[in-house]
Amino acid sequence: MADSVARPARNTWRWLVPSLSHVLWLVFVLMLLQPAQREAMVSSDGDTCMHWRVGESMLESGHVVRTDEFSHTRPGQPVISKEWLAEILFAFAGRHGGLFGISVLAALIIATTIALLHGQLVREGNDLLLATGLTLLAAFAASGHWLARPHLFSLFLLLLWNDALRRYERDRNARRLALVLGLLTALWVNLHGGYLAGFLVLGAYWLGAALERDRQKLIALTGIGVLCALVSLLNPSGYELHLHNLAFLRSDYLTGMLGEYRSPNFHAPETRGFLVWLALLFFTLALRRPRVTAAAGVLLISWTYFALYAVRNIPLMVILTAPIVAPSLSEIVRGRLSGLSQRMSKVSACGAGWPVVVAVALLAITRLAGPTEMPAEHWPVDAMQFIKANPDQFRGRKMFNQYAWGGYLMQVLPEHKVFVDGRTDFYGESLLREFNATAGLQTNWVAALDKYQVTWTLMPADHRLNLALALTPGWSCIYTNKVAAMFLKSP
Amino acid sequence: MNTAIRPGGSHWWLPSLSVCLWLAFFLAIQLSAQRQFLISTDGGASLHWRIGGWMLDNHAIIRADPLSYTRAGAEVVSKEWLSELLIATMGNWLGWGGIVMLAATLIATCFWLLHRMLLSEGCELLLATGLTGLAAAAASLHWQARPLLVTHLLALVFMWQLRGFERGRVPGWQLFAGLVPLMMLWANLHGAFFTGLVMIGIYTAGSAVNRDWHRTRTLVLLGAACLAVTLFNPNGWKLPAIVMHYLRSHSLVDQVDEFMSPSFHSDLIRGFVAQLFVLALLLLVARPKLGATDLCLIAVWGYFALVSLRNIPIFALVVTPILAEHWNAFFRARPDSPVWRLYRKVFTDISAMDRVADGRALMAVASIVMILALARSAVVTELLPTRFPVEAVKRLQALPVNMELRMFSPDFWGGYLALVMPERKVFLDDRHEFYGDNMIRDYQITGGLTPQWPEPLARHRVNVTVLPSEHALNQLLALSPGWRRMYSDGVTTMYEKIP
Repeated sequence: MADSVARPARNTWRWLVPSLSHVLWLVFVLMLLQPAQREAMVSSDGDTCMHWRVGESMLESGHVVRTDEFSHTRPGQPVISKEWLAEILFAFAGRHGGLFGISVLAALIIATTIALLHGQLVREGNDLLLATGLTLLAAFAASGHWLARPHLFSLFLLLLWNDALRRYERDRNARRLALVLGLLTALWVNLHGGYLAGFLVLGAYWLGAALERDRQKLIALTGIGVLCALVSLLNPSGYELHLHNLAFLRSDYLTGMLGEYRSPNFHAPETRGFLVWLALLFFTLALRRPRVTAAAGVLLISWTYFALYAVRNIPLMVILTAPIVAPSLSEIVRGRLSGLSQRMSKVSACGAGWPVVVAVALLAITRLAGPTEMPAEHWPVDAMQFIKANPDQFRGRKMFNQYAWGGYLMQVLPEHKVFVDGRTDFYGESLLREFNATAGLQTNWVAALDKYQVTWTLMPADHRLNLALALTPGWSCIYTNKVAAMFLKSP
Repeated sequence: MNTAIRPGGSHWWLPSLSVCLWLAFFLAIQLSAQRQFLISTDGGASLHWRIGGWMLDNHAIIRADPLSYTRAGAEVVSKEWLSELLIATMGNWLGWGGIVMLAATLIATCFWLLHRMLLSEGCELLLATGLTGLAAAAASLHWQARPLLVTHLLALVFMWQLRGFERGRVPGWQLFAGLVPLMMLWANLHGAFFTGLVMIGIYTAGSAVNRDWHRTRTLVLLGAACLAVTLFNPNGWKLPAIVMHYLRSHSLVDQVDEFMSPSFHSDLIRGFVAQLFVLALLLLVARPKLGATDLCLIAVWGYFALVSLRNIPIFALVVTPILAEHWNAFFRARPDSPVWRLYRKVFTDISAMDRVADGRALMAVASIVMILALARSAVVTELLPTRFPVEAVKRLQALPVNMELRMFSPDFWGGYLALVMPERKVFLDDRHEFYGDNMIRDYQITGGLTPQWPEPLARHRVNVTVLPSEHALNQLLALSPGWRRMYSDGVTTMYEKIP
């Protein structure tokens, strides 16, 4: 009876009926492309603009950036390009749609990651309703870090990476695992510096195999690890990329400057999703008492710690832990809502309506296409108009700028070089200490201004440096509004 | 050997492992660099000594502010007057060493009691000792010579009694006889007495989930009685009201580091991380069946610990008996193996020795020896001179007494300045709930270098600033025509207003 109902649907209508994963994908694409959300994705910091500018430079020159051409503090210094491929994609999207194009790219990556997570949970035999609820909760927990930046590729690739390892745990097909992880590594090392997360996850599975004394698995994972390590050298900087990333991660000063490397602040509303996720993990383990594999246990513990260590790891932790807790939670749902869930599963399993979903998404993207700008109430948009209207005042002069605005200035003022921008790893500890001494009005605050021959500043209107410059002979305020203030040094 | 240690007896000269722990904490804190950190983390220890000293001098509980010129004479609701009296008594008697000794006694007693509690619940000696050490490592991030140490100790006593009641070891009348007077004491010792009420609430919820209505009724009555006796304090209902107001005020609480979420980058947090790791391992490996109360205790105090690092010590104390119970059961259920046989043999022997050991007299001996050492200045304890304006104060003390001094200083130096210069008054100190939103806002406007920074200085007629040398306000004052530098060293820089 069930077959007789399902077969006509499969044959005739299945290309018109989307599965629940497809629906989720569409819902998230539409949600993320709402004006407020897309503005939030591109304007939380200046890095979106910075990546766009760097990518644009590569598109124009036809080669990967090797030396710095954007700052006056480290001009011509060698650059290790961690995410050149992502930057080219960003620049491509930016060329064709401006910031809207970049927000579309970000929305597509996020929605695809969420849909793939849902698909993974369903494919692994979890209850459909539970998988949907868990995916939505995972999206809520991860949403604090939905920014239009290359790290989104890491979320997407980590999901595929973990899925491949979980498949291997079931079918023990080492050859396929090696092929998948090798390809993913080649992509990941060129898309984003977060590829190290993949190696950590592989390490967790390796440790799990060691704890379970599974010799065959141990040998396979060791070999695949070596293969991935070799493949990871296929990037424009070779082994120097790894040294550079490790040096950056080991520097507490550099990582301490970045909000995303800080521990979550549980007073903030944006960590509520993570808090709910932690509660879910705790109550699942305590009440359902599932038997998890050693690898799953290592992943749970290590990535919960990483998420508590740095907020940027929260989305990664959620992606990795969702498949671990899903089976235990599925049993609860199966007992209570089995009828509804089974009916929905049948419909969803028959559905292959991705062309419909994509068509709707394309329609929505073209209809929703509109100006996406950096909000003038947080960014020095009006100050840029002033600079462009008075080019002679700034020609040939060197600026001191707010750290978070650096990327934005690179994009909108390509004729001026910045003092600093979001490329913390490139500028290094020494220069950033000099920057912070001036911006923090420390005892030697004038030293960096003198050393780098700074003759104009662009800082937030209420910044303490403005107060000091207003009292310093030779400096005068030439522009101020609610967002920004500019000071100019007399010749 | 048999003549030295009599089975079933007790030996005052042979310390049990619990007593060893007490001695270790008591002596290590007082004889290591820890003693300086205990009093130097912020100005709290100085502030409590100053307030307690005022009460001792005036034979009255503080009712109006004698320390600041910004809120001089304003009503004070004293949250911890009894602790402050104890701190001032020890400080006046033995100096900073006496205050450290008081803190060390509270810390050592807390973990001695925890160890005794685990052993009394049947935990194996090695496990009990290891978990007590782990709890101490987690709690140590908030060891400061301040009244909050009383809260740690009393929270443990409450939990011990409530656990005993839930498991049928403590009768209801004993619970009332013990906890109600303790709660009255707590309300006069430290403002965090709400911790005890939260504990009772969790055990009540646990009993209700288990449908143990008799225990639920008893606990509800206990909670009501404890809540009622908190009113027995010098300020009556105002005390719980002001504590609640303070905890709900983001503008006040957000100024205090200890109310912030813990940073997992900090070395101080490692003990907490280790305890979370042991808990996670328990859930994944031993997979225990946790009762409703234990689940609530871990979830509620885990949440509080993640929200505010000052709650980490309470979490550490609350979770340790749960870890002990279930790890103990897990280890006992392990299949026999040579390693386990050796483990059991070694610790059966040590446990047998521990059962006949006592050594509590050694605790008294150690206390007397420390008092003598402090009285004869064999152990000297001072505030860290790199954290407080010790040298700058000498310059201020040299100023004519009749010269009006209206200082602007950071809140964490307020208590110290009030203690060492009782004749002068401060801008503000760590009593944020007393100063209130408006004063804190003024402090932030100037201290945080907003564009209106000179206004609070003018409004409060500040004529001297006493700030850490690296403070950015010094750079602005150096550029301001109305101010000149009067003193600077590696720690402190002072500017005075040109008349």
